[in-house]
Amino acid sequence: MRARAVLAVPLLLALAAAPAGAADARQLLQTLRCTQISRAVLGDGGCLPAQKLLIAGSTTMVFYTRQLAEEFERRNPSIKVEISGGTSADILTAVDHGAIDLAAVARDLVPKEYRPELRVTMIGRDGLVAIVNRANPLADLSKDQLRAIFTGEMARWPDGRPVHMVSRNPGSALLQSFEEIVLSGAKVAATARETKKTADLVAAVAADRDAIGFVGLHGLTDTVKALTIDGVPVTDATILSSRYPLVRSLNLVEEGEETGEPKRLFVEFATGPDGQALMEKSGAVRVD
Amino acid sequence: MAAMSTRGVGNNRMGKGRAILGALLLFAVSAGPGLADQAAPARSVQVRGTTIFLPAMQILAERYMADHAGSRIVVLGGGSWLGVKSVLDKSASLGMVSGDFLPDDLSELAEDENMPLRRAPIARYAVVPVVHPANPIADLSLVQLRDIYAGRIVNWKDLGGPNQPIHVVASEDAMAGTFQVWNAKVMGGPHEVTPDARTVAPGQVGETVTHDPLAIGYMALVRLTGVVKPLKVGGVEAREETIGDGRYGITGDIALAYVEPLSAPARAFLDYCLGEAGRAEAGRVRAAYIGDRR
Repeated sequence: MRARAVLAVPLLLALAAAPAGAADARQLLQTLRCTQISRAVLGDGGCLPAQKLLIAGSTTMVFYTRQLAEEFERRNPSIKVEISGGTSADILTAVDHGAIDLAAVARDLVPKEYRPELRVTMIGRDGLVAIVNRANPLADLSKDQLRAIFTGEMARWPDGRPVHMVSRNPGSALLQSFEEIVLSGAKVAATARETKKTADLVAAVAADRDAIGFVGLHGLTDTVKALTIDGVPVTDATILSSRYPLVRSLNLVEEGEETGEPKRLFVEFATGPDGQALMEKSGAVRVD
Repeated sequence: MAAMSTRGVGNNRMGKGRAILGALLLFAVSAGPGLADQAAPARSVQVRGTTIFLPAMQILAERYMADHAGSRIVVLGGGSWLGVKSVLDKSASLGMVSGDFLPDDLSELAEDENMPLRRAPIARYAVVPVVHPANPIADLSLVQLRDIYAGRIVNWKDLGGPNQPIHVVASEDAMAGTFQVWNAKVMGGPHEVTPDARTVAPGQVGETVTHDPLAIGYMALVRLTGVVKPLKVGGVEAREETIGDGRYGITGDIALAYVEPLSAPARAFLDYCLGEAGRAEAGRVRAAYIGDRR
């Protein structure tokens, strides 16, 4: 025990005296807290207490931040990420009051939510695609028309044939995104056919001349036809430029700009190459 | 950080092993680069700011991405305030900023960071007075506009119109570019807008004037729709040509704001926007190209 205490002192001294400066020393201290080395120096039970990183997110963002947190924790064993859910407005209030470290919201902030101290980092974009059967002559819908179709107000195609809506099961992140982006929070009409997976939804549209459905950009296959919206085709470029209408930003919101804190490490991981690869794998369009 | 792989030594419970490890650790700490230095340089360019220039910037970004494989240009509106703010906190490389103002709440941030905000002008846009389509007035002078907004002219008959009160509509958002331009070019500093003015959000001016035959408001030329009537000012109609040569006077400049050092991708995209591509796209937002006037 005594040897451990003696060796712990040079460790801390070394960190304090690190020529790169105090901020870097703090970073190192955080990442070294519970690693193989700290165990070796301080003994198996000698880890310093783990740091907590509190993230609150909207439904979509809880999904994305969980994917990121799993890998982030593996790389930063001394940091424990805790993710909770809530509405975007409540989450932004919580980060304002310092109750959480990071707010994860699937929209851009409105001007009145902004303060100079808040920093908003985009970690991805989320695009939706309206799909129809390849035999359907329709090529374009306005966002308003798409809304009218899925709320049940517009029940027929221009040629008079009935519209068959295909949707996802309640609780799906895709359905939630669609209702937020396209229906302004309204629900998809109850007459829509429900599918359990994106692949089932696409198959249903591919098999029915009168069907219409929606998928994320990554669920799109050439067995169905993607509609342009307000004349804009869906591509990575139109999603990044914000010209495609069915798009939203996936943001991490923090207060302050301190480097080396767990929240900063998480934001840097999310925007870095590996974090961006994870976002893409999870269905988002990467922004870096 | 080679010392981190000395697991065998770490598991050895002998004091000597730990001493060696301690020495290695000291070396690792003093020689290791800071973690921040290891972050990969950003490859993407984020652009945020005024919605007046947004439609032109979106096309610039898409064309650039099409011509430069692997580049990613992310464009967002949000207004000039957000453009300045995002550049200062480094969440964006380029800000689309209308006017030359630095908002009070952000000037402190700019000083704190010791980062002077640079601005590269790219386009000059017009703010036009608008009335209801049924209003017979077609042309007002700058002085008449100032007197209307200062509350010194309150009846349309004094301008050659019907004997009816003038309903003044002003922007409530002091951060909006149109508000800044109107105050600088029409009010000219000391003249206060009449307290009788109805203030609405910048996006609501057209809607308000459409529904009120006695109203006068102002909006960016690019926002004009068919439901309101733009006025000439001193006999000059706002067009790309009259904006560019200075004959139409109620104008503001849109700049791309940034702080040094710019990343290489951001520098390349900035140069692209200020060059011939920018000249080709400024007309999309009914603005005159000024990217070559630096």
